[in-house]
Amino acid sequence: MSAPSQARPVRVARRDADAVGRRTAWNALFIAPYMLAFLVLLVVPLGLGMWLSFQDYDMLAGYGGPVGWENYERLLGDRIFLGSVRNTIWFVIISVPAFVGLGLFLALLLNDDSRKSSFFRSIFFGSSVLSVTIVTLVWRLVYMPDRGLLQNIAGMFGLTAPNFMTTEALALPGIAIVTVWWIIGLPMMLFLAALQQIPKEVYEAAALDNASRWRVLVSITLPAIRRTIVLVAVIEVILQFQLFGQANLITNGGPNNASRPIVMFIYEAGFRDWMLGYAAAASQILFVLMLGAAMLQMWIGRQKDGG
Amino acid sequence: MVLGRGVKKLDLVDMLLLAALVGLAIVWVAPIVWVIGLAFKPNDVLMRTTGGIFAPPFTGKNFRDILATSAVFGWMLNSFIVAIGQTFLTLAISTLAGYGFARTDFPGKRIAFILVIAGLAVPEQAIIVPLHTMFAEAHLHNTYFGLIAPRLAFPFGVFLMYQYFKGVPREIEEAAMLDNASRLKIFFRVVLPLTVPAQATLGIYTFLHAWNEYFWPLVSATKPEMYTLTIGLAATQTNFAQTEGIGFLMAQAVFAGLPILILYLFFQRHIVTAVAGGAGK
Amino acid sequence: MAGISLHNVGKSYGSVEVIPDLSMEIISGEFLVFLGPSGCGKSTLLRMIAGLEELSNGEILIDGTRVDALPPGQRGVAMVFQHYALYPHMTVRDNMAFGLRNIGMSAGEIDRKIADAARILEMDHLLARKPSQLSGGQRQRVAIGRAIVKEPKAFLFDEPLSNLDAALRSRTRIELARLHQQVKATMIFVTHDQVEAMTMASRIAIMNQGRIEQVGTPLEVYRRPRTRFVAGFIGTPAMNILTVRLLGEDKGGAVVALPGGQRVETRVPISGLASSATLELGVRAEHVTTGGGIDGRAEVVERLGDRTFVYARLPDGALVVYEDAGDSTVSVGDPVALGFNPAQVHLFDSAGIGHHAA
Ligand SMILES: Nc1ncnc2c1ncn2[C@@H]1O[C@H](COP(=O)(O)OP(=O)(O)O)[C@@H](O)[C@H]1O
Ligand SMILES: [Mg+2]
Repeated sequence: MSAPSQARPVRVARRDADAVGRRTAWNALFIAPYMLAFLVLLVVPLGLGMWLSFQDYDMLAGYGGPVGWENYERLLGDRIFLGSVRNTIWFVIISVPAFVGLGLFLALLLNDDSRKSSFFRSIFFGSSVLSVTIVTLVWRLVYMPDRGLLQNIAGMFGLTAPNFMTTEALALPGIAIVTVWWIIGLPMMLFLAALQQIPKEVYEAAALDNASRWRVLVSITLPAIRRTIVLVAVIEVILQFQLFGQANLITNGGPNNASRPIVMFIYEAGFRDWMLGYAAAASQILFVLMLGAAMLQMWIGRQKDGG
Repeated sequence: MVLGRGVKKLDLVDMLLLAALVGLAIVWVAPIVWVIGLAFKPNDVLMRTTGGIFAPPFTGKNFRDILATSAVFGWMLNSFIVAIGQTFLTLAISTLAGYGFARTDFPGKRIAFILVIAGLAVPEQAIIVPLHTMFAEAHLHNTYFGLIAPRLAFPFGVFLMYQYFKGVPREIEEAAMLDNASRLKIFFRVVLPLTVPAQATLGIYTFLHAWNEYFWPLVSATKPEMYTLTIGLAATQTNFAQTEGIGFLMAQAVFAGLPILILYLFFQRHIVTAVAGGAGK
Repeated sequence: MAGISLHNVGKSYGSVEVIPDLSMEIISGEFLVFLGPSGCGKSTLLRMIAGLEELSNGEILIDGTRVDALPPGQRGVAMVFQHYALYPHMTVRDNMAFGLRNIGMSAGEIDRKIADAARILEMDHLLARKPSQLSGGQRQRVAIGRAIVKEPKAFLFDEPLSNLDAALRSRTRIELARLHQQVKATMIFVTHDQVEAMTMASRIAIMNQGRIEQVGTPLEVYRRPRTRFVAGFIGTPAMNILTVRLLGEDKGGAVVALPGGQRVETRVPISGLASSATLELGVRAEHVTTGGGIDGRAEVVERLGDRTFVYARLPDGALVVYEDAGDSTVSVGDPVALGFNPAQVHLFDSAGIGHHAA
C-alpha cells in the first residue's frame, strides 16, 4: 500500500477517440436507421393524423381550415360511425372469449410430445399462415346460400343452413367464426408455451395427493398460467379491434351496416370518400378505444392478482 | 393424456374430449379439402351444384387457365419482393437498433428508448390516413418502396431484438474488447452470430406479416400490376363467382395459398415458435 | 511480466461509492489474490484494471505506464471470466485465435501459439470443438488458453473456479499454480474463497467494503491479522473472538479477563491497548489447549478423522471452538477445561486493529 510516487515520471498512454464500451455520440449511429423510419413513418404521421382530425380536409372539396372538435362532434352524431363502434365492440366481445376459451381448450388437450398432438397442432395452427383474402374466399364458399358447404351438409339432413352473410344478427358471429378458424393458432401456441413452463413435479405432487383431473386443472394449471390468460386476452382484444379484411371481403359491412367495423369506416371515409379530417378523427377514437380496452384488461388482471 | 398430465387411463371423459378434438379438426380441414376439390371441377358443373366433389368429372382446366391468363404470377412476385424486402430491412435496422439500445450508451438514449416503447402502442390504423397523404405527396404509391417502408417504423422488431441482446451475457463482449476487437467487429463477428435464433423468429414473423398484409397495400397499390397476392385476390373476389366461375376462383386460392402452406410445412417448427415467441414478448 | 500500481483508485456508481480510495503495488511476477466477501468490490477493481470499468478517481499504471484511459485491448492484460465468456459460435481454436488475429499476427505464429497453449493445458483434442461440446472444466481450460496465447503482461482471473465442482476446483488450483511457475507472468486472482487464496497466492490482499484490510503472504495474514475483520475472515473454523477486559501487565504481556472473570495471560505488548474503550481477544482453535483454567461444556463435537473440533459453551454464554486429537473421547455434554496459548493470542482494540505477540 504505497502512496502514489510523484517523483517517478509517468508516461500517459493516450486514449482512443472511441474506446469501446463507453458513452459516445457515435453509438447513436446504431439506432439512426431505425429512428429515421420511426420518426418519418410513425411519429410524423401520428402527429399529422392528430392535426388532421381537427381540420376540415376533404380531398375532393379541398382544405377548409381548422374546425376544432367539429369532426369529432360529427362522428358522435354519425349513425354509421356509432354503429361501427357498436359492431366492433360486439365483435370483440364475442370473439375474444372464443379465442381464449378454445385456444386454452386446444392447448390443454395438445400439451404433450406425442405424434398425435403434434399432428393436431399443425392442423389448428396451419390456417394462420393463410392470408385474409384466401380465408375469406374459402369461407364465402362455405357460407354460400345455395351451393355452400354448410348448405350441402344441412341439405343432407333436409335442413336449411343459416345464412351468415345476409342475416343481420348472424353477420358478425359468422365473421367471428371465420376469424377464430383463421387465427386460433396464436392463442393456442401462447397457451402451450405457458403450459410447458409448469414444472412436472407439481403434477406429480398432485397425483400423490390424489387430486382429480378437474381439481388439477382448476387449482394448479389455470392459476399457473393466469398471466398468460390475461396476456392472450389483451393481445386478442387489440387484434380484434382491428377487424377489417374479413368484414370487408365477406359481407362488405352489410347487411344494412350490421357488420361494418371501425377500421372499415376509416377506410371508407378516408379512401373512398376522401374525407381525410373525418377519417383521421375516427382513427384517433379507435386508438383511444384500443388503449382504453387494453388498459382496462390489464387492470382487471392485476386486480385478480391481488385477490 | 388430457387436462392433467400423468393420468393414463382412457376413460369416458377422455373419449369425449378426443371426439371433440377430432370434430374440431374436421371443421378446420374440411373447408380446405372442399375448396381444393372445387378447384378441380369444371365451372359449368359448379354453376348447378357443388355437391359430390369427390366424384367425376374432374378437370385441370382451372389451373391451366391460371397459367395462361391470370395475373396471379405477377402478384405473387410482388408479394415476394415486398415480403423479402421488408423482412431484410426490418432485420437489419431492428438488430442494429436493438443492439444500440441494449448495449451501447450515447446522449439521448433514454428519451429515444421511451419514445420507441411508447410507439408499440400505436396501431397501423391510427396513422394510415396521414401516411397515405404523405406517400401521395412523395409519389411513392404503386412502388415497391411504398409498399415496404411503412412497416419498418413499427417498433416490435426493435423491442424483440433489444430483449434478446439483454439476454446475451455482457462478458462475451467484454472478452472481445480485451481481445482488441473494435466496436464494429464485436457487433459483426461476436454478437451478430449469437442472434441467429432471434433473427429467425423476427424474420419469419415479419415475412408472414408482410405476405398477408391487407390494409396498406389495399390503399397504396392501386394499379393492378402492383397488386400483391392478397390484394389481387381481394380484387377478383369482388366480382365473385360471376365472371370467372367458382372453380377458377378456387384454383386461384389454392395456387396462392400453396407457397405459404409449403413454407409452413417445411419450417413449421420455426414458424410456430416465431409466432408464439414473437407475440409473447 | 509487469508490475501494476493502483494510485488512489476510486469507483462510484452514481451516489454509491463502491471503492472509496484504494492504493497498492502489485509486484511483477507475483500471484496476487484479492480476497473478500461477495459484494466488496473485487470484480469492480479487477474490471477497472482490465479497462472494462472507468475509474471515478485515481490512476492505474502497468509497467510504469498510465493505462487508465486506454481501451481494454491495449493494456496488455488478459482476463478469465467467472462464466468463461467463450465465443459460443467459434471453435476452441478460433476462440484462442480471435484476439491474435485482431492484432494482425501471422497465421503461422497464431498456430504455433495455440499449439503451445494446447500442450500446456493438455487440450489438443478439443481444438476443433465448439464450447457447447465441452464440459465445465474443459471450458475453463479454454478460457485460460485464450488468455495464455496472448502472452499478456498480466492475467486477471475473476472467480474462475466458482463454477467447478469441488474435485475439479482443487485440481485446477494446482494447475493454475503450476501455470504461474511456467509462464512467470503477473497474475491477479479474485475470489471469496479463502482456500483458493491461501493455496495459490504469493500475497493476499483482503478486501472489505471497497477497502484493503491487509496485504501479506498467506501465513502473514493467517498469523498476524491486521484487523479483526481479517482475523474473522481467514481460517476455518473461524477464530474465536471473546470480549475481554484489560487487567494489567505481566512479563511484558497484557493480562485480560473474560466476562466470567477468568484471567488470561498474553504475550501482546500492552502499549496502545490501555486507551482502547473495548477489547476483544482472538484465538484460533488450534491454540486453545485443554487442561487450563477456563471451564466449559462440550456442545457440538465435529470429528474430521485426523482431528476433532469441539465447540464448548463457557458459563458466560460464549462459544469457544478448540481442536482436539482425531481420537478424542470428548462427547456432547462433557465438561472441558480450556486454556489459551499466550503466544498465539491476539487482541483487537476498539478500532478493530489487531495486536499480536511481539
Ligand atoms: N453497474 C453497477 N451499478 C451499481 N452498482 C454496482 C454496479 N456494479 C456493481 N455494483 C455494486 O458494487 C459492489 C461491488 O460489486 P462487485 O465488484 O461485483 O463485488 P464482488 O466482485 O466483490 O462480489 C456491489 O455492492 C454491487 O452491488
Ligand atoms: Mg464478483
